[in-house]
Amino acid sequence: MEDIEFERIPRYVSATAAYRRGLGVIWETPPGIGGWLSSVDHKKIGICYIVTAFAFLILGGIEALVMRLQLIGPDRHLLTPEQYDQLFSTHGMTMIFLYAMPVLSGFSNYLWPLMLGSRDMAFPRLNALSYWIYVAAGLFMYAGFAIGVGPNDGWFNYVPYASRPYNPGMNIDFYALGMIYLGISTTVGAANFLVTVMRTRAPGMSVNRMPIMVWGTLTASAANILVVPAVSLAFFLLWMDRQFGTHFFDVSAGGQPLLWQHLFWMFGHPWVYAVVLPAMGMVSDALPIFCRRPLVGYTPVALSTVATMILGFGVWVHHMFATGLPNLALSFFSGASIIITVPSAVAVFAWTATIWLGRPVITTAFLFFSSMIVLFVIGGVSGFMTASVPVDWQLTQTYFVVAHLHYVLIGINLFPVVGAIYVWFPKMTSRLLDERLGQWNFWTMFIGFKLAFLPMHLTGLRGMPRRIYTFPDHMGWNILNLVSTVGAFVLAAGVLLLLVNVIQSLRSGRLAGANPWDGATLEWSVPSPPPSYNFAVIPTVVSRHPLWEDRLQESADRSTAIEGMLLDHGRETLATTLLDGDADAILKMPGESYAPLLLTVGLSGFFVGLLLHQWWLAAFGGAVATASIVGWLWPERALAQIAQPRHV
Amino acid sequence: MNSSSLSLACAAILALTLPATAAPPLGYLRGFGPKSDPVVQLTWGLLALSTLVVVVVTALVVIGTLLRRARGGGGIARAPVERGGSGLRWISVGLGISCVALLLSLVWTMVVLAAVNAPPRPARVTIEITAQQWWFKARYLSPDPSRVFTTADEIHIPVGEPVRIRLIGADVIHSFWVPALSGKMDAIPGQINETWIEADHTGRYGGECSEYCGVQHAHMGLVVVADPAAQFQQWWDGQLRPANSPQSAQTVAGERDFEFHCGACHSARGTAAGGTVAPDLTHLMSRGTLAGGMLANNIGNLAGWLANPQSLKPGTNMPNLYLSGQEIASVTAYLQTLQ
Amino acid sequence: MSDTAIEATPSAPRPLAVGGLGYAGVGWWGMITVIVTEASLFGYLLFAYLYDAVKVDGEWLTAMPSVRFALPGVLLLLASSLAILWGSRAGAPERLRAGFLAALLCGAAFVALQLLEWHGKAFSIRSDAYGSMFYIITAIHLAHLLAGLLALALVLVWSMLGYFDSRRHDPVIIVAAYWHFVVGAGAAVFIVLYVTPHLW
Repeated sequence: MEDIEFERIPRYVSATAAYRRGLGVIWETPPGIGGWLSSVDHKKIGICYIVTAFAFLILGGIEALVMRLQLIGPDRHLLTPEQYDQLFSTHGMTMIFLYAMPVLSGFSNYLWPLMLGSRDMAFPRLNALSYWIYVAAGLFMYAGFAIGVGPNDGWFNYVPYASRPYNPGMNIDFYALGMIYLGISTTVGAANFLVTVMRTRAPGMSVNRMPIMVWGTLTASAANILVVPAVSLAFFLLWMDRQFGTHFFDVSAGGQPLLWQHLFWMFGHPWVYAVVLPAMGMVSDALPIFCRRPLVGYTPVALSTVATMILGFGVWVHHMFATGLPNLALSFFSGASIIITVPSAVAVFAWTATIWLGRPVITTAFLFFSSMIVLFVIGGVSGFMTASVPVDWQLTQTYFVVAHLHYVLIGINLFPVVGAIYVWFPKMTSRLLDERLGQWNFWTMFIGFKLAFLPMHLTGLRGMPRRIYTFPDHMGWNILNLVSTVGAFVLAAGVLLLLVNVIQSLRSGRLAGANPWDGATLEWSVPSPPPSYNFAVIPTVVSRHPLWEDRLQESADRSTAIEGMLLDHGRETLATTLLDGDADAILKMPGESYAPLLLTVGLSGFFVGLLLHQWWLAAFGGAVATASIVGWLWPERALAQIAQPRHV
Repeated sequence: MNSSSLSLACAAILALTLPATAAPPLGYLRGFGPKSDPVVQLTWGLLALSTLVVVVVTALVVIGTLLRRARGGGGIARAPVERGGSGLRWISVGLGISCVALLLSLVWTMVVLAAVNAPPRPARVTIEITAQQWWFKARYLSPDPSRVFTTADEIHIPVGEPVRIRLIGADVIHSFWVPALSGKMDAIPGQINETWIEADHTGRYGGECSEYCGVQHAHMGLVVVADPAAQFQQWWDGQLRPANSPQSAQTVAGERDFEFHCGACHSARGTAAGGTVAPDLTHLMSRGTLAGGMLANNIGNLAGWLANPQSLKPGTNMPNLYLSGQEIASVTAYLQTLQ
Repeated sequence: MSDTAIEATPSAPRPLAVGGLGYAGVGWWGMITVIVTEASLFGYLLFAYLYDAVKVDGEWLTAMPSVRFALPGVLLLLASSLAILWGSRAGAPERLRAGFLAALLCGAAFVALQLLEWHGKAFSIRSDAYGSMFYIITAIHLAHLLAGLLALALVLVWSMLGYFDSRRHDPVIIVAAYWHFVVGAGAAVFIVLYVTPHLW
């Protein structure tokens, strides 16, 4: 048995092939299906996240296309009202909960340790758990839809319509329990990001040197930790009301329907920021690569990321302007909602200035990022209009809001994500995506998006309410809806082109090398795809742009990923201090584990048991889950969690 | 990268293809009273400001890209990495301008909010509106109980006078919205929300439930008819009368069938039909629409609705009654007498 | 494996702690995030209670809640926290086991009191919104407390297996932090459910 050491002077070495081989043996996930099921490698998990999120994006997109066919003209009867209601609810659930956040979690999972100069996330097994639960919860939520009882009260699921007397089927039960389940994934994922950023950055990676994307996900994760309990609680109370006759929202026995709206939007509004801030961060990090200069205004942009979220906690009531609140409250929340525009404006001006003060090289990724600035501004100003209470009383619940939220979610999430795929796909796969197909991809998506959603502003201004399954003739909405439907199909064709490009490039794309875009941050210093251990030696960072230091010439110091600490007594990475990123301790990292998968199986049994009132199944699932947790947390000698045996 | 010109082109195409004449029935870019006028101005103002911002930023992005782009081939390396200017002035100037615009918008918002908060003078008419799946019940309140009456889906108001609306949510949450006259106010179970409307032109104004409320949310319309004062009084007096007595043999039979088949839910004052869970039909023929604004009120639609409401409005609370052809004819004839 | 290596010398080589890092370890930081998220859960729960209480049309409470079981319960919780504080000094296994066992017993007694209180209540979770809120808040707290009891038991087992010494005792401080949180949440629940009714 290896000696248990309490402390060690790490060896500083130059990375050599021999060291790399040794580390590969230590870190490599075993091949085969068992490897995938038990892997804790953040890169594998990140890619799984992204692929799964795109599967949900495609499902949600198909739902949208079916709805657009129903709305192609007045008085169409392709769908029954009930089918339409389930489609728009499932579409919202899918895009907001099963695509928008997880896809960003995927990128963050993949990129964070590489950007921060670490060998993995702080909790590799928790990372696997958050992925498995995401998949299980997604399947759970879709199971209802598959058997014809999908959610049917919109993604924000207002009571009393979601209560049993008005909604007796299992539709809302699938949604409610699924959301609680998914909340576990979001929460453990967020906790992992927080601890990762606080503890496992490379030496020298002080907080003012972290990529903006790290700031974005950090902020989003902090928000998730604080607000996900609100929605989990709301859904739990609703489920209790529905299944056990409690009265949390039941006005006939002292409950309050508006309690639902408060709890939901206390979560929901910060969530909206959480699904855009990491994507904005990817733009802040990657747009400068193509502008051939550092981001303008790093500090203001980083601070405005945090400021957006802090203000974001205080604007939830702007979803409730028409619920009869006192004027004082309306004025306060209106003011807060207008002021929250300020930090967003910082980012817009920073990106624009980066273009003006740089030398933009127009690639597909650049097109996605720069067009995102425009889409962001359109989504921003339409949001600003809804922040003005009297105007919102007209705009709310019309297609203007539908246009607004799609500009936000597609403009500030999907466009940056697709841009990010063009940037980091070569890192993940070693192959570049095709640029010519990429141009087609961009313009098809851009034109389709504009055709689908720009007219929707007008549809809303002409009074079309959202969530109606059909509309009469002579309302002045016919042509606008026709254009939107055509646009939706063009947009879908654009997404299809992306998939074609991905599949084709996987097979025959040009080889990328370590740094195809001449990027500045640490992930570009490792080979593509990165080795299982990420960095042969722990890198040392002295600036925000480790790979551009020779050209920027801003100080005599140089970052290095060639010489540094060799941590090779098993899986190890370095812990650093909170603000300055000074070397602090050596962390023992866990290897492959089936505990996350087993825990997910147990929890799935638990939730299915609750859904079907099969209490034995819930109890059994709960027992399996508890046992998995105990097994997982049982101290291990290999992780230096157990004391030196007394008799050695 | 010419998203700006593309956006403008889209807007131009839309502007050209839209019928320029007909104002959209639920549009709110034109106001018809003191409640909506200041909001319409604010909406246009913010819309103009927003459009300006979009145009300016789009122009900056497009022009910046075109002017500054690295020309020639050779991949990413064709342009060297340089720090260039700090660019912080972009942020400070941009923020300065934004803050001024935001502050002005905020002040304007507060001014409008105060202006539309309460009617300019006390309302003399109060209508209690109960929103339910999927229609609006309207009760005209009066200190004199004999002048209180109930109608549905079509409310009359006196022109040039503020009217107070008390909103009750009977089942789930709905929202009261008459775009030309007023923004939305929700009708929420367990609380009474108040709003007000005023029309300064006579006419019919469309309204719609605007909080998703179930399968027939799409068909929960409301019409507000603004009448001159005298005509409004006349209408009110008319609504107080009981239902007309049937005259012909067919309508007498129709009344009997109506009481038997419809009376548990609907009422026609003065008959045995006294149901309250569905619209009061005492003066059905004074209304322009049927079925929550979904159908024009004419004899054909009425007969069709009686024959098969579930196919016209799937999920509506009116069940298919499986009336015989003769019953449909007689009930339709009877309903036609409810002037 | 070091045959081909060039040993690069850092400016100031110093020993770094390996694993089992106590307050510097990721486990401790992870527990902080758990506590923050669970604390916000209780925040929303108590907000929901107060929201329904303030907005209710009519009487919220049918009778003032009795502190007959709740007050001893919350005192037991505070005592358990003190026992944990006393017991979690590093490197004293007997004292650790005594402290954690005492806390475990206090916690178990709290469970018994909670069950007795539920048993004696004149209303149920279905009676009205107050009843629903009362039972759900106490039940969610109890669920957290039961998780805490399991964790305390695990620490006792691990201690008896000789897993801890003065350098390796992360589970002790992590579980202690969680337990203090459960006690704090219990105190907050006590204040909202039993004290605030007297204030309005």
